[in-house]
Amino acid sequence: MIGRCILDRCHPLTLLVWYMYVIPITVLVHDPIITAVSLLFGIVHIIMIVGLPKLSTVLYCAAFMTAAAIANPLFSHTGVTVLFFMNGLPVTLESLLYGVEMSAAACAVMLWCVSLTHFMTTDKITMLFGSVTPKLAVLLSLTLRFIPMIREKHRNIINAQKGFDGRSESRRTLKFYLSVYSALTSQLLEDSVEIADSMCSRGIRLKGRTFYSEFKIRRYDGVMMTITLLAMTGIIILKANGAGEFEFYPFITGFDFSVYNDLMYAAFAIVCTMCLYN
Amino acid sequence: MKTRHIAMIGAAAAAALYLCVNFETTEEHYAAKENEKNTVGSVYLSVDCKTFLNTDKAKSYIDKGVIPSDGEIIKKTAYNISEGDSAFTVLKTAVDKNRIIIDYDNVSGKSVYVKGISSVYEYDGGDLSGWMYSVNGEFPTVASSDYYLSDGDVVAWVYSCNLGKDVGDTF
Repeated sequence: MIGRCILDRCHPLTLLVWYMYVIPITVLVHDPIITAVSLLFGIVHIIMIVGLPKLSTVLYCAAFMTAAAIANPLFSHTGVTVLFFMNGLPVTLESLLYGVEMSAAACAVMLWCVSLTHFMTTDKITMLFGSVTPKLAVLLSLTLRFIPMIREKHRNIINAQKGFDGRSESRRTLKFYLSVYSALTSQLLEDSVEIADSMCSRGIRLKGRTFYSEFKIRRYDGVMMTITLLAMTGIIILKANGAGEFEFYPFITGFDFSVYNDLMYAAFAIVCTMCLYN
Repeated sequence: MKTRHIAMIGAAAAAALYLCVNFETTEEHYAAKENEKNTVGSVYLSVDCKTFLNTDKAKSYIDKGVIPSDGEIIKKTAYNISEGDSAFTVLKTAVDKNRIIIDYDNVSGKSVYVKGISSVYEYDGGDLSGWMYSVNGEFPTVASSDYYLSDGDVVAWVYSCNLGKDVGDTF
């Protein structure tokens, strides 16, 4: 992490409510301004606070998004502004723009998910679900821990097998990978048995067990939560009254800066600014 | 090794694209249809979406000039047909002549399903809406590309909002 952010300090419940506000609205409201705001805040948040992922990851993401944007007009021929004809069917500007909007929204959601996995650490998940469903909490935290562990173990086993095998990468047989797989599976099974034993000996199944947590609900949690929940209610009411109805097909309706829409954009942008607040 | 594989896949994709996909500019698309084959007769064809005018969307479509205010997208006109012309190929000739865009599915390579004419699509006028065609007042039970026309037929493409009941189909 390169910057400080309130999302790091706040209570897990606040964190959960905040992400459950930003991500669904980015997905569900197909309005270019909402998408643009979400994407912009996502990019600034990732660059300034979380820190950029590897360049290859960014490039893969960009390639995927471009492909998604281009693929839409190839399959959807709706729209009145014809760019050119492909196999006798029109390729239209509207469906191209719709593809761009959709891929921008998907990109924004991906950025928020990167941020979510960064701030929502295992201890926070255990704290959130621990008192409600202890089994689910243990399962979640174990599974989440297993993924990086599997990668680490896989790398180690491959390195060890390379020493036995002695062939170059392109000449390896299926047998090589099968033996790696088999070793990995048995190691993981052994590990999970060990973990289960140690959890039992610590009294995970005891009745009336209390949970220790280092998180406290502070004043800024209250403020954040109130603003987020108010904005969420507001957006649901505005959406029910016809705000955020941006139409792409068959012709683009154009931006509508009516009071309802302006309120919705403001409600979304205000909550988004919290991710940059120190 | 890896770079060579990527280059080969790229080349194959480019070749497939060149062979299977036909790109045309708007002008080329409309100009290419002029060369006539030997005609064996003529048919009348009209396209209308009068039932669509009662829906909520109709006003914005008319304001934007997507459909005319009387709902008659193509007025009843005579078109020459050649051997093997179907209700669909005549529609294609007519819309190309009038510079109207249509959208259709041609997945199996034989039967064609017309999804939309002039941006009025199936389901735009409710769950039971879509395009139908009638020949001499009767609604055939085959796909439009499988109905071969003969001299003097009257083909009408109509938009229905209720499975054809509102445009005179009795089934």
